[in-house]
Amino acid sequence: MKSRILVVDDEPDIQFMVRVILRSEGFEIVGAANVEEARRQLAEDDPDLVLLDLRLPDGDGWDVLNDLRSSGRLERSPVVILSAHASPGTISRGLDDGAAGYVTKPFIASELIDAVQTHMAHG
Amino acid sequence: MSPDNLRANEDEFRILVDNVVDYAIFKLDTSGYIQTWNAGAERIKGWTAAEAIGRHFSIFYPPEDIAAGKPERELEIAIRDGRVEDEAWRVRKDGSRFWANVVITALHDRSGRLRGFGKVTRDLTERREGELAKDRFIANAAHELRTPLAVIIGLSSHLKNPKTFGDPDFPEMVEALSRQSIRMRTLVNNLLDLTQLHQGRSNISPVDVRLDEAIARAARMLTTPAGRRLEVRVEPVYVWADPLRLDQVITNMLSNAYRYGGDHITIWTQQSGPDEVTFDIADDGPGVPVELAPFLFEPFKRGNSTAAFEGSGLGLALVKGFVESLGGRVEFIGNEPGAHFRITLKKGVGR
Repeated sequence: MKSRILVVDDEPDIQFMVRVILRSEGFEIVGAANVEEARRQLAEDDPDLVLLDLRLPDGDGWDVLNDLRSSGRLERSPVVILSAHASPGTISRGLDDGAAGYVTKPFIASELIDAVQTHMAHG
Repeated sequence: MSPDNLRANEDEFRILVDNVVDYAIFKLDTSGYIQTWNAGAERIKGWTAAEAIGRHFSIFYPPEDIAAGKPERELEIAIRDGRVEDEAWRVRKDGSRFWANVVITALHDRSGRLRGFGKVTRDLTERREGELAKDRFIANAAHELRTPLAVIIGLSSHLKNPKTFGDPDFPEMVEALSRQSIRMRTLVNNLLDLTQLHQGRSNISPVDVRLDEAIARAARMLTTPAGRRLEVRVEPVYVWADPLRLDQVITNMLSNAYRYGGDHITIWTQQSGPDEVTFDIADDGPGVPVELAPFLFEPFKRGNSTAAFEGSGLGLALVKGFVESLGGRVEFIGNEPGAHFRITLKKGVGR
């Protein structure tokens, strides 16, 4: 079965770009443009990976990460943060808070693919 | 020079120093107690001469600096090196802080014995705030450029992969690349325009322009989104404006209304005085969020857009800059309940 990835990002063209890049590697992609949509998707089932933007229109990505951590779902659905915030402080906070990886925008296709393949849940 | 002349010279020099208002200039004794005071010292630090003279100069330092022994250390350095310069926070009489440039010079008599210190302080708070605002502006601009750049870098690196040639989304990838490149161009152009406005060289050459024609042109240029209605009520009227900048102003106002406003948008013009013409734009949408209203015309302040793609975040700042450079003004009239903006321009001389 195809691995499923949830992409949480409010920029339609970023969503689109991540989708076409990962689909060409054989992944199945579902999208969410804000915290509410991400929560709705996560209530339905467990993706094999979550690509999470931090700055979202109705809140921030940290809330989604904290939800997953406090409900013990990070092992089943690891989170890779996909953010323009590239300061060492933000990156280490992300990893401390339970994110498996961190990709800073802008990134080239292979960086995204590498991060996804490294951190994808195997199950 | 005779002793009398010398004395007269010294008096003149003291009067000169006493009346300097941009610099605090005063003397300390060998242990740091204040001996003289000038107008600038009173203005910058808030103490009068009567209050200040006789006090120790450490009263100007924040508590943490006093605890760390900074005032004494600065005097020691001044004795050792002849002078010490520092740029840091200092405290006024009322407890408020200001960003100060301080130079302390050791004063010696002819035999080389220390007689005290001269101290010159400048208040650089405004300059520092300006520098911080500029830093924030650059950080915001970089952040805005990063999103289109992310799409361009990500997609172009992906398109090098031959697999993409057969992808049914190939045309949309090229379309997204083009769209984000254009967005980046708009942002860069807006940044340059705004910077030039700040520097006062905005390439503005006002002439008589038909406002109603400029509005019609902008309305044609921007496609009205599906389900929206634009109502234009204008009469032939001339304004004194730069045609290119006027087009930019109207286009920005209209695209803001499409982006943030309601379904029904109205534009009307009016002669509001013998020398003034107003251009109003209003819609029936949710209006401007109250928390945003005070900062509407500042760069990178914006609400949640209903449009698929963000603008540059500079639209209203540019409108304000252009309109003011033409001797006009732009106002946010209020939420009625949709947003209502008014631009006032000088009436043209033609007809």
